[in-house]
Amino acid sequence: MTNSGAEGESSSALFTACLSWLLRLAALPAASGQEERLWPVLAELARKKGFSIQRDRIGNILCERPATVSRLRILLAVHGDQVALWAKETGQDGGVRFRAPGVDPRFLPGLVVRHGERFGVVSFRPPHLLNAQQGETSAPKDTDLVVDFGSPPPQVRPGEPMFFASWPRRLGRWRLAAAGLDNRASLAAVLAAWETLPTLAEDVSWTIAVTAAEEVGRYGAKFLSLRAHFDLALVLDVTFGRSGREPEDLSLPLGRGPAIGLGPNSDPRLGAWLAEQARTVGCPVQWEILPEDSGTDGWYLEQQPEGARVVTCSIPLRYMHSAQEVVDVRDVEVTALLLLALFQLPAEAFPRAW
Amino acid sequence: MVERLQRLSEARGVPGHEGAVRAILQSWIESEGPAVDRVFTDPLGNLYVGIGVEEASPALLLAAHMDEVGFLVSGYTEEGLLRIRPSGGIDPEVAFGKPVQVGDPAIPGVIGVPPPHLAKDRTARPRIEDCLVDIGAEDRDTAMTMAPLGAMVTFDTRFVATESCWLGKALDDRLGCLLLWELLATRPQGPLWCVFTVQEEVGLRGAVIAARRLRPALALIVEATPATDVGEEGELSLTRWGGGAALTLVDRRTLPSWDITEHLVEIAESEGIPWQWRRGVGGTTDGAAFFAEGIPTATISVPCRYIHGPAALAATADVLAAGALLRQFVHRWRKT
Repeated sequence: MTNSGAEGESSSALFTACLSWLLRLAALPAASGQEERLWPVLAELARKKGFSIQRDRIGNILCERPATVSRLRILLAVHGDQVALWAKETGQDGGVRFRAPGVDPRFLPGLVVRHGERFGVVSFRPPHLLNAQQGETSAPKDTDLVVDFGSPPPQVRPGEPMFFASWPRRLGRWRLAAAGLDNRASLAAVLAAWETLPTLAEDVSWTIAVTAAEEVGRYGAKFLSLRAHFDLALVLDVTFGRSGREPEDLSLPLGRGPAIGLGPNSDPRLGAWLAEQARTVGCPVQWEILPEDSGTDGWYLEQQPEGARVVTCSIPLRYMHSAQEVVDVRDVEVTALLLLALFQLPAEAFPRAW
Repeated sequence: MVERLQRLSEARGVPGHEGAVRAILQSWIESEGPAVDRVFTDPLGNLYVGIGVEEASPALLLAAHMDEVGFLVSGYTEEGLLRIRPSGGIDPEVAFGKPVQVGDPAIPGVIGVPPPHLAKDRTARPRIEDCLVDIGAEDRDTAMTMAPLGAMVTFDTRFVATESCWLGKALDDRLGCLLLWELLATRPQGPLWCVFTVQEEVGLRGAVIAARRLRPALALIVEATPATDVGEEGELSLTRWGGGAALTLVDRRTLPSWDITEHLVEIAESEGIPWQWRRGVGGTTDGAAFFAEGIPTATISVPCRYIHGPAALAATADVLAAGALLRQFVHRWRKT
């Protein structure tokens, strides 16, 4: 694949940068509506690279570098939020009731959860005390569970998010397990490429948009699509990594590069061009069939008033929306390498309107 | 005390693999413990500490078990995931989706959860067959090299302490081990055995040997016991978290000695030590092994929420109460 070492670590500086960003971002959890937590990291890079930075009314963070003479406007979109447990109320027993949209509740019992500096456990009954009937009932729903922080009880206000208390862990030679890799994996690729970038092409206007509230309805992308002006959008997200239990046509192996989308929401001609650019710089890519809604911000970004072409590029990720998602760091590295190449291409290198 | 419990909680030892826990306790005993007459390990791995005793002499025996519930690697998938089977009672539901450590030396793993977007049925309770461990192996052969058959798998949980409660894995029964060590650190006089047993979670296997080998005058077990007072049980909970040391009236396999239990109540009342009854008849402890040999037995338990899972919660006050009750009982036993 890329310049990876024979044993253990990759010799590639970009691999090291990607891993470093993954670890740094894992320590900056941000639920939908909290994307401003990423502001310091983004502002520092924006300043170094000569980008302006602003936050719009819904919370999208926009880092812009207009071209000297703009012949092409490109939006690079990556959502900055991650799934969380949302507190409803604290009961008389001190347990915090919650909802968990987009999360399979079956892995929640026994999970360690974090609210600020406090750690709690999602309640369950020990096996010795389950009678046969209880053992055969259906799995609990999120409404059946509480988070127990022990004592003293923390002040958790209704509507506040609680995070999976999950520390990043290296699995084997190339893989990383952590919470929030959807979509920190893509963001790490963007930041690693942006940080490494020598110069941008002068005739392309670039906007790096860290979008808000993707996990709860893609509200940031919807808002952006009505206000931003761009010719094409590259949407970076994650997709279903194969562990052997997913339908083979709906999942992708780890370690073979990011997946370019094919379907109405990911322009096949743009995708083919992107694949060719990847081949030119030695990056493996895969294909992801998206016959309808891509499930990404791209679904709304395509609907900007002038119409825009969108291509999705997604990093395969196992165990999506769980406390320990897993990516192959080489896939993040390859994505960063591809972005690095794209950042430096002049406008004429991009496929034009039909 | 907190630092010692953190070491014990984060140490790994499923039934039959208690070596790391035993090594910690042995190091404390050898470097900081009281003068002892006997320290030895039997073929199963029980650690015996004897003060003022000969084997098979009437003595007070205190016991706590070193093993924790966990899993063993039982197979592999073509994609390089590990199949596991439980060692001790674990509901697969609490294993699903949790971080683990595999083998010795440990490598990190995760019991992965397929994405909800693709799940056919999100109401079916996970089975152990659904709990596959991802250690980052890319295929079966690599997985076999990284984690051989029979390798132990434990939950990977960082110990966390506030001023009033502790969160960690294996508090059942590293809390008991801690309290036995704390008792030894007070340099008690004999005749006294402290036995750190093995394989409690798979049938009290170590305690059976200890009972037959030592035949003590009486056995006092120090354990962790469920407190299910958050969520659904409320007032019907087996024990109440924060309600003090729990004393057993009866469990699934033991009829504790009423004389000893009553004496424990008297001590608690006279010393102002918070205590409560362990309500209910479920579960059992190493006490059943001594009871089966006709040895009078009783149990002091620390109420713990969420035992037999990745992370349990214990109230500091309950741990201190159990420790105080244990110390006072041993002190008075020596005097009689």
